[in-house]
Amino acid sequence: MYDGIKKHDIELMDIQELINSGDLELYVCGVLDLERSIEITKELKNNISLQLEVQQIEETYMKLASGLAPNKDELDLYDKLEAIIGGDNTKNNSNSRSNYLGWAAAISLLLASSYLYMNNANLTESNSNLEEQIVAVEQDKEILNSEIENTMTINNNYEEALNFIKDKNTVKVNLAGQKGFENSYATAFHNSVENVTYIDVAGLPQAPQGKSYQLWSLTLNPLTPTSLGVVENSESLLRIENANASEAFGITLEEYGGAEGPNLEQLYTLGVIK
Amino acid sequence: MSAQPDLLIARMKSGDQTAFTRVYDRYQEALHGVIFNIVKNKDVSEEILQDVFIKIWKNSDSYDAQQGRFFTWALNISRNASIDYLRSKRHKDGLKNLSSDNFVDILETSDDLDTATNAIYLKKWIEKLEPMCVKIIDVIFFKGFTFQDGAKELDMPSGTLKTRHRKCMMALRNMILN
Repeated sequence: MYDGIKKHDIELMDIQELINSGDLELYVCGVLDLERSIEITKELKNNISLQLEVQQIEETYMKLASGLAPNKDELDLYDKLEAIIGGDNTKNNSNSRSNYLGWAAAISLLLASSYLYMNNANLTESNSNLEEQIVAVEQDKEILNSEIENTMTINNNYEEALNFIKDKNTVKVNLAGQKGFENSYATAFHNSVENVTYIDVAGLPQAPQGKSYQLWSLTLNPLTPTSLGVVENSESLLRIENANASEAFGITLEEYGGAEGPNLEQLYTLGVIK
Repeated sequence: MSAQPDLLIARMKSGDQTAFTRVYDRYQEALHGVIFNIVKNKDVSEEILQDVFIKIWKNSDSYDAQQGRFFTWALNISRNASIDYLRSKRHKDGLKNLSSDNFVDILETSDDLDTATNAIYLKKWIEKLEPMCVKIIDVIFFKGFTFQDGAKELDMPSGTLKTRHRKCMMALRNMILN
């Protein structure tokens, strides 16, 4: 128990120390050396409170800098930009074509009829331009909606995970690398009141082709494994309903899709709830 | 508060121009502010902003999320483009000289910012900020000095500069985000 609390406290202290150091501000300003920036990116990946801190720092700088932006004709500026990056390929030659056909129509009925035909083609073309624009607007909307949805889901998940981790009934379980897999690790957060476990497997190597990692809830006397399912390599926390009387957690590498019982030869990480 | 739009950035990297438009909308104003603070000329700042986004579009592949934030990457491109301009012949031939003005001098004296709403808010926040904070934020954020170089510029130990910069930013953040 003491070990668990101690390690947890040390981690919290490290995070606070990093926040107070001023390095996160320098990270956002882009004035740290590359090595330190890469280190901080890694720290951020595993820590939600650090991510939130960096987002707030960035937002402050962005608002500060926006205060120094002169007013401008944004549409005009974007149109110029779009013309340069070559996005707007809409052909716009209807005027010259109409003029030519207008002249031709005066010469013969044959050409007049072809004028009508071509005029119709122009209408069809501008109609299809409009249709293209509608499609573009719809794509735009789709991207925005999916961005909102993604952001909301991420925020909700973060908030939920954060509340869960902060809950007084949640214990942190460090799953240490086992023999042959000493560099692997995982972290579980278990709440036996809510019957929920979160698992972070960012410290496991990528599962080989055709294999899956499987999480096991263990009772110790007698040693009984119960599968909590297959876990994908992922940087985010995975939430699992777990009504078992878990005393420990283990992760093994199994055939793709998981196995009935654990293959202890391939036990990557193991941690006991203290 | 919003997270970095990783999805949009990924789509932009794969050549999606709609995603690029969204990225432009999100970052253009802040980057424009950084550029204007360095070149101090509205027309030039718009030209450079355009060049910066062309670079972002063409080189988006070279943005590596492992190395930092997208904003940081774009910020560096903006500062470099502005500084390159100041060093260019065209600038030396006619326009204003590289001066030691900081962002508050520019905020207070530039006619181009008179009617900008964001500038009006910023003025209110800045009034409450310690004068030393203005210098520190100017050197580190706007001019992009490393904290060692910034420490020399401001004549203080680099460790002190780093922690004071943090304190100044906290003060500003409490005003801006609350």
